[in-house]
Amino acid sequence: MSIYLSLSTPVAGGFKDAAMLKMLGVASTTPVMVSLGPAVSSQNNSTQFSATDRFGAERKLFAKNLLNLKSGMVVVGDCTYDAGDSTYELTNVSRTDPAIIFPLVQGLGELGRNILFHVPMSFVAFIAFLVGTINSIQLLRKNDLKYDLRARAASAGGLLFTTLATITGSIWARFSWGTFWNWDSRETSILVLLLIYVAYFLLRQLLEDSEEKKARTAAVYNIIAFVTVPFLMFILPRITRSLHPGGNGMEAPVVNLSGKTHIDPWFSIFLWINVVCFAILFYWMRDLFIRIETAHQKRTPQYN
Amino acid sequence: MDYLQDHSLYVVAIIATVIWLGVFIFMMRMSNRISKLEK
Repeated sequence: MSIYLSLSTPVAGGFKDAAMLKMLGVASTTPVMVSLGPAVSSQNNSTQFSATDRFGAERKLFAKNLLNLKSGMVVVGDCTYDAGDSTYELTNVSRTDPAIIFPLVQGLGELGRNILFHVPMSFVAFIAFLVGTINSIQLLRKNDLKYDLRARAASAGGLLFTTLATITGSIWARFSWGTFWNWDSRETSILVLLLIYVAYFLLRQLLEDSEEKKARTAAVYNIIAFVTVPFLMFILPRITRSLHPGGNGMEAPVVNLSGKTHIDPWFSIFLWINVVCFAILFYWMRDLFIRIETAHQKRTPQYN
Repeated sequence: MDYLQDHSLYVVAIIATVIWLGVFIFMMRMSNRISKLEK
């Protein structure tokens, strides 16, 4: 449900966005949300309304061949700006009286909603690596092999969500920065993190020793690997030159030192709902991983 | 085709929801099969 709403909720800006994007040559039409006031004039299927956008700016708005529009309606549609005579025209209507609206982030457009997938996936990846490390510490303290299995399950989840965050980020980069991969410090740091955790699984798999020794060695590696996670995920991209938000000393919109999120309230609500949903999905995957591995171990002679 | 172009947002949302629903059903079935194995 949350995923469907994250993708289907319309993105809309105001008159200022339509004018700016047109003058910059970025887009000929811009999605806007307007509240239609009284009709000022009407002729040849064209009605001129006095309209107010979502930021309270009032402008004259032409609506050609949109006969169903009536005064008092709140509509989302594509708007063009004519710089010659400073007029706005609504070319189509995609939604009327929307309950939820996402903000138009200039330069991102529809891509802006990717924040609702990319950021929650990164958060859950961090949580997964943290859980895996706690399990590894428990293994070293209690010497119980069930914690090795739990650590592997959590780290596998972390690896999966980091990969998904990298893929969504890469798609975002393609349309915002021009290429899928351009060795930005953010991209490089996340690739290094992925390799560190791939090495964890290779180490656990390839060691030729007793199960207990393999588990303890892998646990020590996992704890050391986690030390790099905050550095590679949060610190490095913020202290280096990066196109990613938070780079070049700029304050990142979600994770920053001020502890405030600089994003639209609706974006913020859906972002945290998706964090919870992906965290539940991670927990479920982790549980399945443990149960499958336990069933496998029960049927494999070397474990009995 | 016009319908798909005019409602592209819904088309993307529906496809993504179906994929996630597929993942959900796959995991549900996997969970049930493991439950049977565990008994």
